[in-house]
Amino acid sequence: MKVIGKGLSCSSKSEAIGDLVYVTEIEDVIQLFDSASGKICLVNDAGITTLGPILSDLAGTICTTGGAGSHLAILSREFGIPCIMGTKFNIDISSVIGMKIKLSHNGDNHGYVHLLD
Amino acid sequence: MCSNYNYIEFIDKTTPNPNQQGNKGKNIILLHQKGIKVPLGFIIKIKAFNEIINKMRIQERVNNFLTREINPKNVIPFTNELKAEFDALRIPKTIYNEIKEGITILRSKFGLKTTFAIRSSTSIEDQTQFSFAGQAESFCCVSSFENIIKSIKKCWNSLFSPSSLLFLMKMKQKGKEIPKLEMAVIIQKMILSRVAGVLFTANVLDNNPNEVLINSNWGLCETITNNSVIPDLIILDKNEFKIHKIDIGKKESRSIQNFNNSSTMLIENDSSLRTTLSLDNNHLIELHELGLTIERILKYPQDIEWALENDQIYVLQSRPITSINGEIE
Repeated sequence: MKVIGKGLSCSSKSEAIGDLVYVTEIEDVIQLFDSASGKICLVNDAGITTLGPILSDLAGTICTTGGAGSHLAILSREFGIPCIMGTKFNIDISSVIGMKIKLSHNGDNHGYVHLLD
Repeated sequence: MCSNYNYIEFIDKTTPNPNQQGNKGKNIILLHQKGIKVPLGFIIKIKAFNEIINKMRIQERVNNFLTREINPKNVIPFTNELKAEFDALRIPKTIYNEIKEGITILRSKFGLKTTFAIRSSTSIEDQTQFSFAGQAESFCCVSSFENIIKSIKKCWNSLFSPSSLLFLMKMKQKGKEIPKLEMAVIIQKMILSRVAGVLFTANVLDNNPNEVLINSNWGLCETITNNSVIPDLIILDKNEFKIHKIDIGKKESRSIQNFNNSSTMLIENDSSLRTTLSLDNNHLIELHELGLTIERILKYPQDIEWALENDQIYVLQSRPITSINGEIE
């Protein structure tokens, strides 16, 4: 298990395991509408409110920017799922879309993204 | 106080009524009554929305759509159809004239160069347990009357956006009751803030009710809520003013009013702004106090959007922290 990203853990629930999916627009949400269950979703700065419809199914969210006050963080907390904001990756994240990842935190609000083999 | 208006209410001349003002509007009016600085302006009541929606038979069509459709793909053509209708909508004269008069009054009070913030205020959004956060749109730095009207229509329409409809479809899939879709629109003097952010009267990172959490950035508040920067993070002790943690965020950019005063634009922060905390100690003390005061007024841990202009802190909105259980007495 390798750490591939680090950010701010923005939800009191901070551990999850699931397949990584990437959402940039509403069409991606439609694609995932009936299959989002248990997945961990990555978003960039845009398209955050877009994620609303499937949030209740997701196992976790990761955003490359933002903080605790972002809409995505607010909604993720509301649905009781882990959320890591302002995440920086040490690999090309597009190469691991679809793979199993794990979210965790270190007890001091640092959130980690791990790649599970 | 007797009002001559049927469809609009001025923030400083009315009393809180969520049935006509939505939750956001109701809180702004209540806070103003309690002496908290909020940007002044008026609210286009839910009554106006309902009259327009009824004429367009939208509620009925949405209900029919949700009853018959299970394919999420079909949301797109349906919402496109609604969007075209909202774009072409001619607001009934009685409502239109009151909005026009409202804007004229605000311009005469604040000057012709004043720009406006136009925000939606629904009765479902911002309730404890269900925030629907960000499902509806807001517009900043709007100036011409033509664009004000366009923004109002976009606010109303945002309740029937693809994302909104998919959200409702998901609720239905999960056997939840579909809420009644209603919206007021808030029109306020735009606060051209030097610094803005959010203030939570609990530490939402770990549900700690004994701490206060602040996110801030230079410029307008929208960079914080729409995730476009990594903001400064400040955690304070709640019971007495004491700094527990300061994390200076990267804050690569900030949002400002654009050069022809018609919208916002994103500009880069230079390196000195990126590496400097956007709030000084006095502002932190003031925000800490403000948070506690608002929490006492609204009797629940609050998620507050604020903006600092000419050394004055304005509250843009306040809503309950939906991820926390915490009735306060």
